[in-house]
Amino acid sequence: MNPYSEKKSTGAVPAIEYRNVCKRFERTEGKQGRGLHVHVRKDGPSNPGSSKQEDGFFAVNDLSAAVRDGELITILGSSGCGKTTLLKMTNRLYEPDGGSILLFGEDIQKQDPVQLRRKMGYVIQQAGLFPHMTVEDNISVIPRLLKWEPARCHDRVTELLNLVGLEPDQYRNRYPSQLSGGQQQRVGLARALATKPRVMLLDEPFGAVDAITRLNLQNELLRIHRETGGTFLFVTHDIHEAFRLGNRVMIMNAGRLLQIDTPETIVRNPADPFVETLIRSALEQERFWSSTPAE
Amino acid sequence: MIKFLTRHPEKIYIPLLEHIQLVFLTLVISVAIASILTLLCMRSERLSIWLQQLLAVVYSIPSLALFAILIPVTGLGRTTAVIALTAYNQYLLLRNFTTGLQEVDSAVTDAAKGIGMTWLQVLTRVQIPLAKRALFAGIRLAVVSTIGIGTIAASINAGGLGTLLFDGLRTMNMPRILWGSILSAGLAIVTNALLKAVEDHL
Repeated sequence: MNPYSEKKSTGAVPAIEYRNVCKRFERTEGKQGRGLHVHVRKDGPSNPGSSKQEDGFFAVNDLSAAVRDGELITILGSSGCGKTTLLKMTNRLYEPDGGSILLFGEDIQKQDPVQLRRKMGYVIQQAGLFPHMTVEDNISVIPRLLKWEPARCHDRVTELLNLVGLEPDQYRNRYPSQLSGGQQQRVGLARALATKPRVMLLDEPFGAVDAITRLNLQNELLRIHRETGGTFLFVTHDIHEAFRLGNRVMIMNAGRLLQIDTPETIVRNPADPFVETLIRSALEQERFWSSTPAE
Repeated sequence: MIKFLTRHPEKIYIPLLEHIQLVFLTLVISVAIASILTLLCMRSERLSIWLQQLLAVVYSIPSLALFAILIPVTGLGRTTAVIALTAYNQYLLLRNFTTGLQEVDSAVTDAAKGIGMTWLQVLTRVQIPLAKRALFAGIRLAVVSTIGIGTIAASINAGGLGTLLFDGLRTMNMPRILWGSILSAGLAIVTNALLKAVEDHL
């Protein structure tokens, strides 16, 4: 039952380890939560078999998984499946209601949340850039809080802008509003990478950019992952993105982890009817494209 | 009117200065208290709702009544006036401060927190800079309202432009009434325009 599969005994400590992690939300809390179930009444009958409870529901339900150092894991699921919640528990923006999360073998619950977050990069959908700061200031905001020398900040910004494929001298003094959506995402990525975190959390970072830009950004991300060698957790609801980017893919539904494995293994051996349906739907789409020859 | 001004200039500029002093003192204290209350409200949703309701009730008390209630406690004079005016301001300031800060895009504050800012850094480096216009608008409203209600403070011996008005009315002295009205209205209008200009440049 536990899809805690494939834990090759490399002996090394996993970068991130989830142990029976649970998170429950009250009825109306968490807009990301399952919109269909807002009407759960407090004293209503509990629905056995679903993750709903009398006065709330499990956004993440008894989830265990281990992420190896240097892996790029994609977390795939439809909206409200708990994937964002899982990510936000990883940097303690949310606290789990049960279980524990270990970062390189150390319980994150015992660490200062601010220090913990500074050890991890965090990128979100709309980039979340600070509109009142230039690109340079956005990227160097944490280095400056850490009292890096100005020259060191400047050099790091140059390095990072090159890494994410933006000409430093052309972009460093621009404001986020002067950038396209794709460029904003690149800056968001650069900001997250500023202090060379060993772990990067990416929450649908390419969800709001057009298909062509997304493809470019995906390639850049793969390159950045290769070059930095960090551990990346990448949340997405796009099956193509998930299977294209992930060394392994975590498939979630209704707060549970259904399967975590390499894309090839998942396609060959779906662990669950839901995963099977998911793959079939992707193949259907594929068929449309291959049966409609382009000129 | 002009004769009154040339003959008794001190009867005009002293109340005017007193009034400005009263407004300024009230403003400084009000903003300090409202800032603390805003911080507390950001931490607790329940306190926020409760406090907003309480302050709305205080705000709805007629000013003369509020001054009267305070007299047995703090006596006549400027202290009482400042306390009452500060109490009124809390409603305006707290509402504008909290909504201003809440209106900052949550994606931006989430990102700020997520990359490792402490809550104070999120506040001072992200929320306040992005909400500065809303915050300043709250202050502007409070100043204008204080200038207006401040005229009533003369009824409890707190000085200000109200003294001109009240004295004028009592003795049916037209120049006094006119100077009192023009100056208090003018002060409010000019201050509002000046602060609005500053606000637009933020």
